[in-house]
Amino acid sequence: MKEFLYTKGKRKYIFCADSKGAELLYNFVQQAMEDKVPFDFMIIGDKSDAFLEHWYSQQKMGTFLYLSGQWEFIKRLKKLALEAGFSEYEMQINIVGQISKKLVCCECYGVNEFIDDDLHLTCKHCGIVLEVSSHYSRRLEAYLGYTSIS
Amino acid sequence: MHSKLQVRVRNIIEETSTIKRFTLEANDHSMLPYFSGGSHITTFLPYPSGTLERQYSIFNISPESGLFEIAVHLADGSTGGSRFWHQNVQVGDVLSVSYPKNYFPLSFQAKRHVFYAAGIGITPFLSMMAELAEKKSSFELHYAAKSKEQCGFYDYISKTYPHQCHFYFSNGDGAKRLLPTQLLNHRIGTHVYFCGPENLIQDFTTAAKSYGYPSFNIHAERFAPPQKKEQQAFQVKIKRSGKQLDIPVNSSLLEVLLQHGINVPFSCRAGGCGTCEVRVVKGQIDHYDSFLTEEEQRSNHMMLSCVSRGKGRLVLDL
Amino acid sequence: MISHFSLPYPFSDSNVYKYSNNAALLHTKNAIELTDRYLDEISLKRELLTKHPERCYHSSPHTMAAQWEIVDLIINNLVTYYPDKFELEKKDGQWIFSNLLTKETASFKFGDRTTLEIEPLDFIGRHVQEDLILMMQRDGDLILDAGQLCFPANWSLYFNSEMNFKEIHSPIPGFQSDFLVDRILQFLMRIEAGTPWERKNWSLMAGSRLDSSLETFSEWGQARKRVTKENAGELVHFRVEVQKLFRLPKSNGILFTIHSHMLSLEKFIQHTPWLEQFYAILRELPKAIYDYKGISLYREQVLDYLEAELKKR
Ligand code: HEM
Ligand code: FES
Ligand SMILES: [Zn+2]
Repeated sequence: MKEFLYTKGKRKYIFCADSKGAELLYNFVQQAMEDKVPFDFMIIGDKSDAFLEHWYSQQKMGTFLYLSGQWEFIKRLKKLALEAGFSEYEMQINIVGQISKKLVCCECYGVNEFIDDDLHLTCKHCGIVLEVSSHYSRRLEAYLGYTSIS
Repeated sequence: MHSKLQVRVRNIIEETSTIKRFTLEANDHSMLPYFSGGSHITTFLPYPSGTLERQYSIFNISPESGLFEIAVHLADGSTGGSRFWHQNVQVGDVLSVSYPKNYFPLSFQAKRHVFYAAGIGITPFLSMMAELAEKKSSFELHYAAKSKEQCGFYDYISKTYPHQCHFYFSNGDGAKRLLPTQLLNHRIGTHVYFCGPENLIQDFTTAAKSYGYPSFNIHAERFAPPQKKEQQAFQVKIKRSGKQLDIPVNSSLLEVLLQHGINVPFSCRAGGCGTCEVRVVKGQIDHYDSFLTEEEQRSNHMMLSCVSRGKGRLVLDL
Repeated sequence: MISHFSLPYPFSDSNVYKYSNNAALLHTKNAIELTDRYLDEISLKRELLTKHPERCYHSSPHTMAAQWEIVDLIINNLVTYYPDKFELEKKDGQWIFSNLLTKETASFKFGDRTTLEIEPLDFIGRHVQEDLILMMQRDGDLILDAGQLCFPANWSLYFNSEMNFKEIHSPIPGFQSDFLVDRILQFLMRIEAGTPWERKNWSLMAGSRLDSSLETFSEWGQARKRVTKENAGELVHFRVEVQKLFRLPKSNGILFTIHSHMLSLEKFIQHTPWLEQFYAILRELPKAIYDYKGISLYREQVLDYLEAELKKR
C-alpha cells in the first residue's frame, strides 16, 4: 500500500474516519489549516450510503479525500467515493487493524478467509488443499488458491 | 510497415472562409473502417519533393456510414499540408491514408466529459461527442472562435447538441472570452479535454493542475511530428569495444550490429515491438518507430535499431 | 496423419530461450486458422461451454459493441480465407451466416443482441478453434473484459476476468522486474487497426488434453508423475499457442486470439533440427521458467529421452 501522506496543491480536503481512524488525520487537518485550504472533517458514525454518496458527488474537481479506519469501513467508503466520481488518484486510505484476506479456490471458486502467514489452507467448500499465492483479483477482492498434485 | 487505405474525395464543403471539410470514401466502394471518438488518420500527400504526411482528426457527420471526414484549416502562410488540401485537392482525387488510430481516447471511468476547443481544435470533439451521444453519456462543449461566421460547424453543433454547447466569440459586441477559471466549476468525476492552439492547451493544463486536477483527468490532443522519409548513412561507435561501424543508406543499424556479432535481440524488424532497443549515450537520433512514446523519443537516450537512424555519429551503450 | 509439419514452430535461431516481446507482424491478416482437427475441437469446445459456462465464458456489459466488432472481423476472415466452407449473405442489416462444415445456418440482425440466442462473442467463438479474448483499452490500460476460453494452458478465465494486462501477467517469473511487462503493454497500446501481430508461446504437457484448465489441474496434472524416459515420447506433448492481436477500431479494444496446437514429442523430434534445438533449449532453460511452465517434475526424464534420441541420429 502507498504511504499515507499529505498531498499538497489541492483545492479542498475531505477527511473521513471511523472512531478508530480519526487520530491519524489530526496532523493533516492541522496542515490544511496552516495552508488555508478549506476542508471537511467527519467522523462517519451511522451516516447512510445515500447521504455519503450525495455528499461526495457534490464535490468539485480538485478535492482530495482521505479515508482512515477499519477495513470494512474503508471498503464501504471507498466504493461510495468511486461511484460518486473520485478516482484512485484523488484519495488516500489508511487501514487501522487487521485486513481480512480472501482466497478463491481454483476448483470450486469458493471463498476462504486467511491471514498473512498462511501458506496453505484447506478449502472449506470442497476440501482440497490450496496454496496461497500473491495473484490478486480486484473483481473478486481475493487472492488465487492453487491446487497441487503432490 | 503500416497498411494504407485508398480513398476518393467524394465531397468538399466550405465550412468557413478558411475551413474546408472533405468527405472521403473507400476507392473500391467498400466501407471504410469504423473508428472510436478522438481518432485521427495520417494522410499521405503526393508532393514534388516526396510524400508529405499530415494528421487530421476524423469524424463522420454525414448521413451515411463507412466514410471519413476531415476538416482542414488554411493556416496563414502555409506551404505544407493545409495549402495542398485547399488548393490542389479536387472531388474525385484518390489519396492514400492510414487506418484510424486513437491517441486521444475518451476516459472510460469519467462521470462526465468537458471539451474545450478553440478554432480548428473542434475536430476531434466531433467524433467524441457523437460517441457519447450514442452512449447517452454526459458531456459539455466550450468552443471559442473569432466570430459566428468563422466558427466551424456552428450550425451543426448548435442544432445537434443544443443543451451541451457553449460558444465564445471574441469579436464584435458582447464578446465573451473562454477562460481557464471555468475549470473551477466542474464536479468530481469530470475529465477535461483540450484541443486548439498550443497556448490554449498550456494555459488550461496549467490551470487545471493548479486547481488540483490529477493528470489522469486532463487530456490534450497531440499529433506526432511528421516524419522525414529521406534516409541517410551514419556511423556508430560501440562504447565498450570502441569499435566504429558504418551504416549505409540501405541497411538498418540492427542489421549492421548483427553482422558484426553484436547480438541485439529483435522480433518484428518494423519498429513496432520495442525488442531491439539500444541505449544511446551521445548523438542525435532520427526516430522512425511507432513504439516509443514522444517523451522517450525526445529524451534521445534510446532508439529502436531496426528502423531508427542517427544524424551523423552516435555512441551506443553496448 | 498429424506430422511435425502441422505444428507452428515457436523458436527463433537462438538456442537460448528467455522471455521477450517476440511479436511479429501478421502479414496474412487472418485471425482464424482451420486445421484437420476442426470438427473435433469445436465440438469439444461446445461441450465445455455447455457444461462449464462459468469457467469458459465471461463478459462485462459494456463489451457488447466490441463483441459485434469481433463477429464482423471473424466472419469476414472466414468467408475471405475459407470461401468454400463459410458463407455470408447480408440483406438490410440481416446477416445469414452459414457454416458448411457443421451444416449450420444462423440468421441475425447485426448489432441486435436479441436476435442471437447467446452473446455475439460466445456465438462466433463456437465456430472457430481459437480461444478469443477481448482486452478493452480503458483509461490508459488494457483490461480483460470478455473472453471465451476452453483450452487454457493452466490459467483461469473466471479468476483473471477484469484484470489489467500487468495483473494477468504477475505470476510470470522475472516479468515485472526488468520492465518487460511495461514494454509489452506499451507495444499493445500502440497496435493499430489494419496492422495485426502474431506471437507464439510454447510449453510441454504430460498428456494430450487441450482443456488443461487451472480448475481441473488436479486431474490432468497427475500425468506429470508418470513420465519416464521410456514413455516420454508418447506421453509428453509439445504445445504451441499461436496468439494474434488485432485492434478493433470502433471500440478501440484489442482482440487476442489463441490457437493451441499439440504434438507428441515422438512426432515433434522426427524433424532432427527441432530435436537438436529443443534439447539445447530445454537443457539451458532457467529454473524459474521451467518451474513456471510446470515441467520441473519430469524435465530430467524428457532430457534423457531427447539425449537418447539424439544419439540414434
Ligand atoms: C493482450 C493479450 C494477452 C493476454 C490476455 C495474455 C494472457 C496471458 C495469461 C493468462 C498468461 C498465463 C498467466 C498465468 O500463469 O496465470 C500469460 C502468460 C504469458 N504471456 Fe501473455 N497475454 C497477452 C499478451 C501477451 C503478449 C503480447 C506477450 C509478449 C509479447 C505475452 C507474454 C506472455 C508470456 C511470456 C507468458 C508466460 C508463458 C509461459 O512461459 O508459458 N502475453 N499471458
Ligand atoms: S525489432 Fe521490433 S521494434 Fe525493432
Ligand atoms: Zn474449493
